[in-house]
Amino acid sequence: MREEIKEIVEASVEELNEQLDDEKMIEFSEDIRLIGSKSILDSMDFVTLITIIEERISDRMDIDIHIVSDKAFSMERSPFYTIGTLIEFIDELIKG
Amino acid sequence: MNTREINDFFRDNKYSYKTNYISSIPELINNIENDLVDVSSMEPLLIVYKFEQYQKLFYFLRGNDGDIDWSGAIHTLNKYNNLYSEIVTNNPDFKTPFILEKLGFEHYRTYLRKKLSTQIKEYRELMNVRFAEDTDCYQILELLGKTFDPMCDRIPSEKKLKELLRRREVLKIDVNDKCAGVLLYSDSGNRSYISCLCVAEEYRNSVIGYSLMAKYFNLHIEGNSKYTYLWVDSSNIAVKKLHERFGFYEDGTKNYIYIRRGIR
Repeated sequence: MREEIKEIVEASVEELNEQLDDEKMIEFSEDIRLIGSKSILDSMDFVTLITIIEERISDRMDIDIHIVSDKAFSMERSPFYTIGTLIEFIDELIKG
Repeated sequence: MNTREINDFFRDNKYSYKTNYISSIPELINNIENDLVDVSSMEPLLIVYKFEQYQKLFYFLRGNDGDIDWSGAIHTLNKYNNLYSEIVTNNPDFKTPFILEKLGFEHYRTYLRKKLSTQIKEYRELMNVRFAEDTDCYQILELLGKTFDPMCDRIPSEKKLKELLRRREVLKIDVNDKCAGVLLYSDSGNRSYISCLCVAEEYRNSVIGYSLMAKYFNLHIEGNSKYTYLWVDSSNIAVKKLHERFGFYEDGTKNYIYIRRGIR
């Protein structure tokens, strides 16, 4: 399951890159920061990425999930810290 | 110094003085008569509004300022700490006024006014954004107090905030039962003014600010507002970027803040 989610996230990053200026493009890596002062994405790009991931999960796995929620923000370790933590979080979210 | 002298000043110098005062003269006279402000000097005419933590200076300078003995005015200002003054202008060639330099003020910050025509686009609301209630008042004031500069960030008074809460013009996001962010706005006729967007330090550079703005715009898709405006500190890069992503543009009006600290 994790590998499948990783593939979806990687494809989503590629799709996001198509919308970004060259200097903002992301090279896929699980260490890439998604939020916080060291993030290379601004909040609007982050929202776009999350939306793309949710749509791709729905299309490919036939599962509707809401990745960002108050609960996610309440967690001690933010699931949105890096691409890696995001993949872990989505994996847990889908497994329920 | 009495109100007759001040009335005489405005009568004799009608339209010929330089000032940073942007409200009406009758209102100013009324404030003087009701002892709500200090009149600190007549040449130039210096009016000081007293707030809790700072004082705000307005000046009126006759067209011919060559003969002024500045030492008197400088001396009278020495009794105030944390004195500030501001000038709102859309003059692209604006330079610090001579009088503020003479009185010992230094440039502190510049705020940019940004505008946006009402959009019909619906934004995705990622977080649960709700209208704040009366019971949120002190939590919100605490966050604003921790985040903003009371001298120039226009933190609302408790009374003003309660009024906004009553009018349902305060949006709030909670995380772990704590206030993670708020957006304060005022709708007036065809204009809407975002007076404050505030995100708790630990949630900056996430989606709290975005979510508050998204909710605000979604609420305004239908309504009378033709445009939204706000002010932003020119040095606040993150917030400026967020505004740009929503389509706000600078309309050319700037607010220059000057401060004068302590005794000279």
